[in-house]
Amino acid sequence: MKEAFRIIPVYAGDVSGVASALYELGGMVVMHDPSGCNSTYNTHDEVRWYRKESYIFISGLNTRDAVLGNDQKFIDDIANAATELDPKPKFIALCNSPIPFLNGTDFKGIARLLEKRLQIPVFYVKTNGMHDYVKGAGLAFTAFADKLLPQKAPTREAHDAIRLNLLGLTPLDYADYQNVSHVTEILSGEGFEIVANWSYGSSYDEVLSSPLADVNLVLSATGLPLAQKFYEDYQQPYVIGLPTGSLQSIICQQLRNAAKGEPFLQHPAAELLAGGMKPTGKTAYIIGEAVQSKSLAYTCVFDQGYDRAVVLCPLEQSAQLIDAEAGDLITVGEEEIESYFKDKEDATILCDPLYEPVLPQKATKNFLPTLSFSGRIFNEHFPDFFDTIRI
Amino acid sequence: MLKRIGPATTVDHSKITSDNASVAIQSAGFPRPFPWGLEYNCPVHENWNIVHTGRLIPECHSIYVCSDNCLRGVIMTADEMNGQSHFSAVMPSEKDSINGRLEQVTIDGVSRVIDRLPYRPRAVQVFLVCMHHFVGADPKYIFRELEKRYPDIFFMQCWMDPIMQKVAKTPEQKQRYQMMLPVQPLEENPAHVNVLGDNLRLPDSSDIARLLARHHMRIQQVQDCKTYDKYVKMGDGWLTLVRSPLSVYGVERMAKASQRPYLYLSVPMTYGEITSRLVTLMTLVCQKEDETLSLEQATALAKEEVNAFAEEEKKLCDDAFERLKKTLKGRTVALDYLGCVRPLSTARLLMEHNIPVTRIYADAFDPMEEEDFLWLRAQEEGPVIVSTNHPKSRYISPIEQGNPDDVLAIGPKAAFFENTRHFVNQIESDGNWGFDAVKNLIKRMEEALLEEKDPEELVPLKGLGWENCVE
Repeated sequence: MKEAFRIIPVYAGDVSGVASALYELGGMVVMHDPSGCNSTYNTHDEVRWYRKESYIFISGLNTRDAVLGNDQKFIDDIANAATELDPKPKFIALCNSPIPFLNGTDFKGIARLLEKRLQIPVFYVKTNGMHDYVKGAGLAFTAFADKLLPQKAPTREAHDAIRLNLLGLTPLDYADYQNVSHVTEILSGEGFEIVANWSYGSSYDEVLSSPLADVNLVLSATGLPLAQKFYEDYQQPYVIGLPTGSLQSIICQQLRNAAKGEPFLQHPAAELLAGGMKPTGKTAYIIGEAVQSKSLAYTCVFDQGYDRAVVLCPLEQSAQLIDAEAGDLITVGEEEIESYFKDKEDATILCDPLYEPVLPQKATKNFLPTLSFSGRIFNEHFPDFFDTIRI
Repeated sequence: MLKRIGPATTVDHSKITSDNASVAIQSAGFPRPFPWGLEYNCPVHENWNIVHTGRLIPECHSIYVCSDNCLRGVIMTADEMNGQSHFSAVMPSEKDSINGRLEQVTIDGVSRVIDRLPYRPRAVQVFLVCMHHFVGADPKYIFRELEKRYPDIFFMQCWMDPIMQKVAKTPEQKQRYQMMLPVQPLEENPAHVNVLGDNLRLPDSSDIARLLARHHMRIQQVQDCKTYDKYVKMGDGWLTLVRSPLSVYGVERMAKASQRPYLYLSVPMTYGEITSRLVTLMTLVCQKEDETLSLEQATALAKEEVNAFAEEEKKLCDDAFERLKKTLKGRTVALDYLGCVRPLSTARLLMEHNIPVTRIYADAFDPMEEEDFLWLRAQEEGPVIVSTNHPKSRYISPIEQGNPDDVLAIGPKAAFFENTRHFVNQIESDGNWGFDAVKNLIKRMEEALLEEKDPEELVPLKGLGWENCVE
């Protein structure tokens, strides 16, 4: 039964995804929820909360206001807080949760009212607390861009270096900040100029410059909807994958090709694995976020001598990032994973440590803790994905 | 008994200071000094939540039925305490929630979890959520069905419905009542007194335990029960004591059903209130020992015993205060509602002993503290009340404080906001009660002055002290 979780956790929720995505962008994020969403987020899904200031708040919705449709309190509370805060928030993002979702609160209308009253851009991120962070962060990035970025790209001045946006870089997937430093260093070393990073160690002004980029690099599934939007709005092509191991030079080459308008592989790890894996033989199994997992699968096969590498992705909006024909699978619930490995006692598996109870005892397990799954429990062991990860 | 602090309380907006996140006690409303609005959540999580509390009952499993965002917090709480073996979840999908399948998914999901457990729990706490209220799910049907499927399991009907907490019973109140239900009345043992509904164990050194021991009475608490049967056997206690305001609702209902007495002994810190509460307790004890005594006779006997006890204790406390004042060397004190069950009573105790309390971190007060509030308000140099969840509280960030070494904090939120390395790291008054609590607090304040601690390492951790209470 996909809804029953006997022992393993669930991934960070959509509201956490929104807050994580917009944390550093100078705006106010308001979760319309009775309690808990913000506490859960800042305790388990956020590594910046203690030291880095933000404007992330919860509305404290109560049953009386929910039943009677008293949206005025929500509106007034936001207006009061926004007026008092200094510096003034650059935007306000409203997130939904299960109860306002069920009672059909008109967030778009509330956003319009607030925007008129406060003269601050206000937008709605269409969460409901029932989905995972990939969906939430993806929606947040695109909602921000819809509201605050121009619809058409400004004229790009001639420049030497290829300009690049990094998309889908939040602590939920890359908790250790070393990841940001490292990927920036790798790409700068390859001659790219990073325009914007969405959005870890980033800023409002930085992401507003995104339309100036020539090409985008998608580092997690949270960045894919924005990449698609940028392609549509600005005709910026995008490449998917982590520049790590021998994939580094391939990714960089694809970025160059894409920027120059030459043919390129959009998701090189997936495309090269499709033709490069043996049908049977020594297999590595990777459970996790799709872009990271597929990139690691590539390094397993092409750098570490595996015949095959199979990705199991338990996250939403990821089907297009894996390769079902190659055996990859979108999983739902813990029982599906447990049953998948039932006859694979000797499997070699790369996953978050909290998957262990549903995996075969004898399997070889290599652990890769992620904030989005095991929270802060293994916070001293968050990996640097741009260093060598061996399985 | 705890009253919910509703929107129509005495908030005088005109008297709230200009930064809105703090107010001088002379101008503060009671019991709610700040209006409700958007809430900031500071990174201090040492308090217990319903997951920690639920783990107190041995051989009991907890199952939460809710959507991703809500579920994540409770699962992570359990995982951080290595409690996942006694914790499971059911996550209905969006479709389940809106297509009228929530009841069925709840029943089937809980059943599926129980069937897949490697052990058979004696009791299961099933937590329904806000969503169940709003789609009109029928909890009676859900639990009737579960009880039919698993007649050997005791089901506790718990809620994680924070949407109700400002206008009705809180999830904690409802959970604690449900957790008391296995303790049904058994043949009474006049030597057994129950302490029910508290997270932290009442220490043997407490005034209550020592005075009861003089009368050959023993305290029974869930924290001492190694098995579910032992917990059920607490039903032989003749008297129930409760310290947490969150548990009064449950204890009252239990007492009414069992026709046995109970006493709410909130955690007073001032000498007068401690003595008065002890007299009430010992009056009941004297009457139990000799049922022929009238109330006046029993009270007289109790007063005699308690007053003698209190005199000795006060002297010990006063001596300790003198030592503390020398060690404080002019530092002021800030305290919070997490560290102290009765923050206003604690502040009053300290100020009565000439220890300056400059700030109290709290967002609302237990109405029981009104007398202490009025006393503090009458002081020339009364403390400032600081909100911990006002949007502007985020500005009270550590770096913006003065010299943190000048402040001794009691409680993790006070430690965070004051950014002091000198703090008493405790929640819920560390389970202490009475003069014993006063002595322990002074001792811990002295220790905090001598030893530095890093608040960033400690205060974000959840459930301080649970490992001492749960096997």
